[in-house]
Amino acid sequence: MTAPAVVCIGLGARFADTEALASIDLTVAPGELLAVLGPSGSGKTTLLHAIAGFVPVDGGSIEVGGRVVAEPGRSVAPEERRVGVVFQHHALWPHLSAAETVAFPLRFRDIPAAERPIEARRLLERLGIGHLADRRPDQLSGGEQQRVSLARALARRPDVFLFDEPTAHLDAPLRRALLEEIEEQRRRDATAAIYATHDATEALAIADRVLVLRKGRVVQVGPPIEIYEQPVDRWAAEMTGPASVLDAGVVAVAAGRARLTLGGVEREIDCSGIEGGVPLIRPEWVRLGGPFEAVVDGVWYRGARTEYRLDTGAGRLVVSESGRPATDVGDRVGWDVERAHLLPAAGSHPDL
Amino acid sequence: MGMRPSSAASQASPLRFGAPLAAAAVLGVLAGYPLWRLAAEALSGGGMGDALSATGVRTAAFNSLWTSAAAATLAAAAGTAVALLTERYRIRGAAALRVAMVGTLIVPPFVSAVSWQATYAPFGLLDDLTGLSGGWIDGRVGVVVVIAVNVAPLAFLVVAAALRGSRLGDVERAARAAGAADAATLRSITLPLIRPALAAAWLVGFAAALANFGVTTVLGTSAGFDTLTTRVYRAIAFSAREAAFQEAVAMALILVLLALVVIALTDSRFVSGRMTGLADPTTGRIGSMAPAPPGAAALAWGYLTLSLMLPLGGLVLRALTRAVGVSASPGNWTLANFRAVWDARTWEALGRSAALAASAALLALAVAGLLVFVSRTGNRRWGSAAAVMFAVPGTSIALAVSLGYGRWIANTAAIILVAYVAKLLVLAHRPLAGSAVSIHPDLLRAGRAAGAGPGGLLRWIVAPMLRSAIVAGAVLVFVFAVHELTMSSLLRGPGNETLAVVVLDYQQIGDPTVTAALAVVLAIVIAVVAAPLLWLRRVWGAPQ
Repeated sequence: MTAPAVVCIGLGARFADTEALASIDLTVAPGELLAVLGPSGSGKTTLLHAIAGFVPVDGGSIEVGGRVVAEPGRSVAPEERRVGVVFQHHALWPHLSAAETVAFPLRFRDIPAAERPIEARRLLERLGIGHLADRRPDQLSGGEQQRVSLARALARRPDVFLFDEPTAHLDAPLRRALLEEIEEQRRRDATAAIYATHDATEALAIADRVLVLRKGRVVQVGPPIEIYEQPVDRWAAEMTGPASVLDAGVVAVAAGRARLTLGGVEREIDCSGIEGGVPLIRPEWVRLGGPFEAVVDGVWYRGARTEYRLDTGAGRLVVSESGRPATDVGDRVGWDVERAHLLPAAGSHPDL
Repeated sequence: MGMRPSSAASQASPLRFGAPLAAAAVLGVLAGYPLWRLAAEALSGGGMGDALSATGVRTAAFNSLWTSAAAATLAAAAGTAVALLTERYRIRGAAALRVAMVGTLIVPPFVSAVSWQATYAPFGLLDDLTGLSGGWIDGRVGVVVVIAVNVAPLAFLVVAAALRGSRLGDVERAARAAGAADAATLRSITLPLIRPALAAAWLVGFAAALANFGVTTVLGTSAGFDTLTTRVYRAIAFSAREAAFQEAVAMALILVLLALVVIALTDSRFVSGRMTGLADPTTGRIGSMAPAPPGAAALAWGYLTLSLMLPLGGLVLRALTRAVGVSASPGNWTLANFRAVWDARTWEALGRSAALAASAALLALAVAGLLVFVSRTGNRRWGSAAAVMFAVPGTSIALAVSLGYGRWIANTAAIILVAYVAKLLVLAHRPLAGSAVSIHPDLLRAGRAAGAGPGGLLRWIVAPMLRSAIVAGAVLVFVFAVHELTMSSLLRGPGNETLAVVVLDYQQIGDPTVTAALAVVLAIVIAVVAAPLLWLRRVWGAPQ
């Protein structure tokens, strides 16, 4: 039985009067990728910095690789924690070439000086940028810089990778390529990782589990499908993707089934969440054509899919269908829904 | 995220408390204690009142104020004009114009004064060539003009930096698109927006002019024109009366107070205020779409020729000519003047100047490094202390250091070293602090995450990244220390003459050709040392 890669218990961090992190509990299993999803200011970077040892911890404890690295009154220096950090702005040293940058952590792994350049080049080649080994950061594109940064983290042979929005400053195609690279490299070494991002699609796609963070507190932790389909509250629902909430009556009829009543029309649908809650509906749970009626009040063609916004009389409903636009703004359309997730009414405490 | 502490090394360590204490102690030794002694001495026993009621002191103070104001105005105008040409119009040869303008700074002001005398005064180069000469050189007009020429590069640096950093490009393009011609854009958009920099340029010029001693002592004193700095010097150097000393101390304190007023104005909202009202300051590099006004480049080069190149030519020719009054034609050329100064005293002074300057550079770098380290959490007060000391005239620093430590180390090189480090500290601090901000905390965190400890960070990440700043700081301190005349002459004793002081001696004895020869030697020494600065710019690009 291997120890978890990271364990945080009751972790807290304060800056002056701001509570940046409050009683965070999390565990990352060996080889697991945990995405930390939250808006800017939610404490993602602080959480990673606390684990790496860049910010002091005000309460709780942190274990990395089975070793306690922070607890009240004791903190292990960052260089003695085995963490591989990939920074948002790459954080490449301007005076070092790509090869020298990747060779730097090797120095502290007691790799003989003669072998460091060879190992550095091997890592750069593994990431497809071996030919750029002698370039300095200012001679590299954003994507190339981030690959060097990734190679530097790999060279550390860490117990855990800490990714701080590594794709935030890359164009969409580069982003996808880098994300695939990160997944592949990590799987290859079966190293655990924590991946901070504000982008829900990125988090859902890459993670084994997602942790939703808000104002320094954990809102929800779970597998991506659960996070997306069963958010704990409206804030978490909107953080994880497009969501509509309808003012409609929902009555449970059996386990996982409920009856939705709207404008005199009744429908039995799949259902999760709390009894008596308000129905949350994701765009792809709805289709155009069906017993319910609405007026189209927005149409957006997005290439592979088209998004419609319907005015149902009981709130606005976003619908996503494949293909080109099928109706125009102002048209009356029928629609149908196959499932809903019941959220606690606004203001009440999440309770699932 | 707005919540990151600014340093990776924020863990508790003895450095966290020890370093600020050490920095405070060093600044106390360099500035606090001596200036306190100066103030205590000036305010005790009614010396201040006596001095203020003395006619000579009041005249000198009045002269200091109006010459500084006039020189600052001329310098701000010249500096702004050249800065607009190099940064806004980006004329051809802008790089050369920049180098020539900033290059003026490496000529010590008193050498500049000697060279103007050699060129424009009766029996000077111009007289020799054309029969034209200006008696105005010796006296108040000459003082104002030559000081202005010497401080113009400072004004240029301030305005050029503001234009380059302003990113007014889109704002100007919007004005052009709205129908304004280039001149109207300049007048109604650009200049009003950089008004804080124009005010700062004037104040920097004023402070430098106020502190000037070399130009006035060469061009003013013989014509009976005194400012505060030259009057202090005469009181210290040529009078043994206690009252004269009291008067000098009082004048030194007045200079400190004037400098503090200038600093307060510089820090005031009008000057340090950002270009408020500009929603997004990063809207494109400035650069006029219009060609520079016709003849502007020629005018700029003409100015540099008349203010710098021609005088230096006159200086060299005078150094090579047998005597003042004979034509500077090749038939009258001789190396006798150089042989005359090539004696043991000159060699000794040259060696002492070099050793003092090198020591000052090393010490200033060490202190600056400490100040940058303790400022890393964003506290700017430490750096301001260094800037304040630079604004305080050397005259006052010399008297303060003398009052503070004279009883132990008077007439030694050590007392001059203390004064140099106090005055020139900012020249080492600015480049270091400027480059240090470019070290994003993530670069240090990445180093720690890669396995380096604090020592490793300093050695492999911080020092290499600051290398050009370290060299630039060292060279600047060295050059300005070799330059230095005011403090060196006030603190001189039998065993600590610097090269600049020896030049001043020859000038005061009244031997123009030998003075010129020695001034040429001094200028060559400085140019050789300053050369790496140009090389650095080329190798490392613009300052980070």
